[in-house]
Amino acid sequence: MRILILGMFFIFSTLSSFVFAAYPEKAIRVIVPYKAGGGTDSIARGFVGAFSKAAGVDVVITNVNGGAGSKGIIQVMKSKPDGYTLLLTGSTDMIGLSTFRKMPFKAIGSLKTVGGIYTTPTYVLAHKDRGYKSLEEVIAKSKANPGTLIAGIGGKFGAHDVLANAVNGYKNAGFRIVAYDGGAMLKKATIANEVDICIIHSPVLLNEVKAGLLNVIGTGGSLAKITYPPIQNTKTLRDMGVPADVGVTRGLWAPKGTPKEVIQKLEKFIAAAANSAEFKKFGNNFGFAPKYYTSSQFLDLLNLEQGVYNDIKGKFMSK
Amino acid sequence: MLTADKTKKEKKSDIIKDILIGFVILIISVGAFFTYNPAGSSLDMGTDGMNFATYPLGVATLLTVLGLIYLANSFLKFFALKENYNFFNYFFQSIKDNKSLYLKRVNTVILLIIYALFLGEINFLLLTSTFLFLGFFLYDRRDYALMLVLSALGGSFSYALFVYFLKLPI
Amino acid sequence: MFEGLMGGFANCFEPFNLLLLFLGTFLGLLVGALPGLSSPMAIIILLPVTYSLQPLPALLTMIGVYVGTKLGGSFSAILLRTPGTPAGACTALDGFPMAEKGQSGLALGYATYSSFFGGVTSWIIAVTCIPFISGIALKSSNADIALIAIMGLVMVSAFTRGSMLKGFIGVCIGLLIGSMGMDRTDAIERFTFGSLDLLSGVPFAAALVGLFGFAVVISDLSLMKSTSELVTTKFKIELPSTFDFLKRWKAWSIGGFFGSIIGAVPGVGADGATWLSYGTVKNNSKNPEDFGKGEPDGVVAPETANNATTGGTMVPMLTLGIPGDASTAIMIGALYLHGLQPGVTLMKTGAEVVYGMLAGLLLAGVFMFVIAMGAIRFFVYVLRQHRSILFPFVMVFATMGAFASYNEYFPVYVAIFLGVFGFLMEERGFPVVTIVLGVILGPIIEYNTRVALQVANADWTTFIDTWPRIIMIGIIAFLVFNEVKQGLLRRKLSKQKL
Repeated sequence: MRILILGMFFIFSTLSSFVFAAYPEKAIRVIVPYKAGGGTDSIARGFVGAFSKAAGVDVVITNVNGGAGSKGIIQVMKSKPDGYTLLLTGSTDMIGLSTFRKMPFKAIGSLKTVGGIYTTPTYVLAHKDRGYKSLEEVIAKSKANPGTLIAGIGGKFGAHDVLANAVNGYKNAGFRIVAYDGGAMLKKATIANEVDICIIHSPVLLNEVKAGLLNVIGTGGSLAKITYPPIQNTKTLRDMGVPADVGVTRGLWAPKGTPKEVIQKLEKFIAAAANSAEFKKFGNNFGFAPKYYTSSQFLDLLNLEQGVYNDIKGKFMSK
Repeated sequence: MLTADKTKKEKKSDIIKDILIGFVILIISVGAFFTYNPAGSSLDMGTDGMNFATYPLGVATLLTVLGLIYLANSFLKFFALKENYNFFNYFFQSIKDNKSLYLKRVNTVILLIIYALFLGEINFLLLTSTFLFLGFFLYDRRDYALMLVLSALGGSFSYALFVYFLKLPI
Repeated sequence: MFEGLMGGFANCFEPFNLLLLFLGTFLGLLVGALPGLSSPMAIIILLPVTYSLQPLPALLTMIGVYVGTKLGGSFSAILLRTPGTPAGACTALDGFPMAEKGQSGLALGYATYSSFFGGVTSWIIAVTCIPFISGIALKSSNADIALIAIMGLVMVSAFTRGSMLKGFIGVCIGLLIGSMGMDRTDAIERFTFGSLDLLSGVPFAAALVGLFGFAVVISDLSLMKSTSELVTTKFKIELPSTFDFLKRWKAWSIGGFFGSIIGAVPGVGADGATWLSYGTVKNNSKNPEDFGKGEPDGVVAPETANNATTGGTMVPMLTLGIPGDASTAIMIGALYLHGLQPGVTLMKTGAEVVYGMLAGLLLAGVFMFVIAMGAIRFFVYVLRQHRSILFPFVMVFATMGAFASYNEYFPVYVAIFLGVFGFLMEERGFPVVTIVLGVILGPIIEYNTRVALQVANADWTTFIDTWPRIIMIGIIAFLVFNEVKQGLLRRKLSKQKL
């Protein structure tokens, strides 16, 4: 009996290797669960050229932006697990959706991680006219007058919100958190000096930092790979005693049940694409050098970030 | 036409439709008070002195008031008219008199729903060509040769535009 | 600045760049003319196609599409009453009645002249007053945007004929529809009935396609057998002359002014400018009762405003990296993909591309005018076919337009539902345009009012903190008084008639 089962297993795995040996044979569709023109979409479009070269087939991006980003995720979940439909989105975007809302999926476990391609921490900016040199300085000022200083974020229940609440919670900072409807609105408010601090994913507004209009005063993760050396050693939240790493890693997922052989091939393609000169050039132009995570490294990262979200939500955002 | 002014005197059969629409408006406005918070979220006020419910419930309140005025107005007009009127007689007579038009309208909606249901399930070129052909047939065309040609051309053009060029994931 | 611009023109006149600009404009006009399709869709498709090109030719192609769709959307609005954009919905108010009266050539001609004029005006203002336009974009705070949107909403009675009560009911229904989904400030879901599909609210393109496209088809089935002026055997297309257009100076100057200035305000630009200019022109007209029945000024004003916003949206995009609408947001992404960095430094680090794009904006307007004037007869010929042929095609394009809004099937069902709902409301005299107005402006008013108050710590005096805001409040108060007065006068006149 044991021999029969082992034999069947051997035959099946050989057969599936044979069946998927030719993968990919047609275009791969990458679903981005946001509208075209946003940060994730731009990174995805910067990536697919290299991905397509590595895979040897066309890679087409489809924006499926309903349900606050959940519809695209659900569409991939329901797709055939044959390696021809993938999801590209941010790690904490997935985590935010499943942590703060009732979703028919979990950030970890509902889809198969394939790899991470681009990590950017969430950082804290202030207009030069405010004169702030560090986040500690702003926190001290806010503590002295709670509710008077404004922390602008790009939307509720995302990484920006988590960072703002982590600072408010652990440091008792007393910021008034104002949620703008997306990065573009927050960008405008920051350049117009309408907020005391701006919490946004790096490297958005990096040009304005380079031009001296804005100062980077804190960050939710290391800025060592940002393409502007003067800010690479910015103090992180952990350096300030806030036990949280906040940022976003754009990565790829495949439907659960995608054969191992296909996942292995995808990992190879994605590694090649993420480390390619073409994507590195795009990344450097965008503001950050790309960083590649294998499937298991990406899963570990997701677990870490989920832990942070659960911690901050449980302590400071449970209302 | 859709946008023509009504200058002729209204009959009870017209006003009954206003009354029905009035009830629909009230169902929408009053219904808003029961459906504004499907996730049972907290109603804590934000730093702006409002919460997520302030604006839609404010609008719903205004709509309720306007809806009541509209309904009251319609009832007053209805009872002011000295006209013999039986709703069911009128309803069935109206359907009888305009059977073709009503059928076309209902069938248009049904055809659209069927088209939407089969989008993505059946080959787009075939589905669209069939839809076009059925549409021409529904609108009383009987020049079958032209209908077939237009359906095939229309289906092909739509496929080329939406699937090939715009790469919609149908 | 001048040298930079001359250099930009020189680059644009390179044969390959000129060809791409022309093709982009042609494509934009075509895509915009198909009911339900929009500029962002066409630009997204071009992105991978342009990867192999140098930055300037790639972006010139996109600018051509952007400018072309502005007018193209009006073609479907005028000929089929199925606009692809909110701005086109305004043009349909008088454009479609003109087409029904057999004046489709005139309507399209006025739209083309107005779009060209609006584009040129805003270009001149944009290039000569870049700091001013950037300043408007930057300094217009949430309170300002809320007040502009409220001004647009108050003009609702400009779009109601007969019953103001029905107009306000329509607006309220539109405001409620617009509030479905997650609210933009607290991200808490409203009226979703537990459905994930409604979490992002009612897809706007689906609402437009349903309320205008499907509702028109269902309604106009009653005309299937009668011959309309659109379908006569001896058909002559009359186009307006340049002099005819120039005579309507009030309409195009108001449209040009609103479009150029308000167009620079991110988040409200094109939508707000077209409705405000239409309402203003109507209120100041000697024959306001003709609006909505085929008054050419009702086409000239919104069309001028619509294209006059192009300069206003491009300048903040190029000088600040702030997108004014969905199309410019995609163009910002395209800048990154082509190795440029949008933001405050782009005018220095990417000067050649910036000036090339600004030059291309003007040239695209010229191409748009030439192509459109030549294509009017073709469009009218195709679209004057019998309704029994046209309507199935309209339904296919409208369905796909709704689908393409999210690349999902749910918006199609929304469009069908709203089509039936819109038809029933219009039958009873509720102008569907008021519902659309509520759907467009409601979210803008709520979001900007709330953020303005959050920033001001719930201090309502923020709305009278600056002179522009005080002036806008004054205008709103005047408009309200005027609308009530006009409404009472209309009621008095109609009672006298009876």
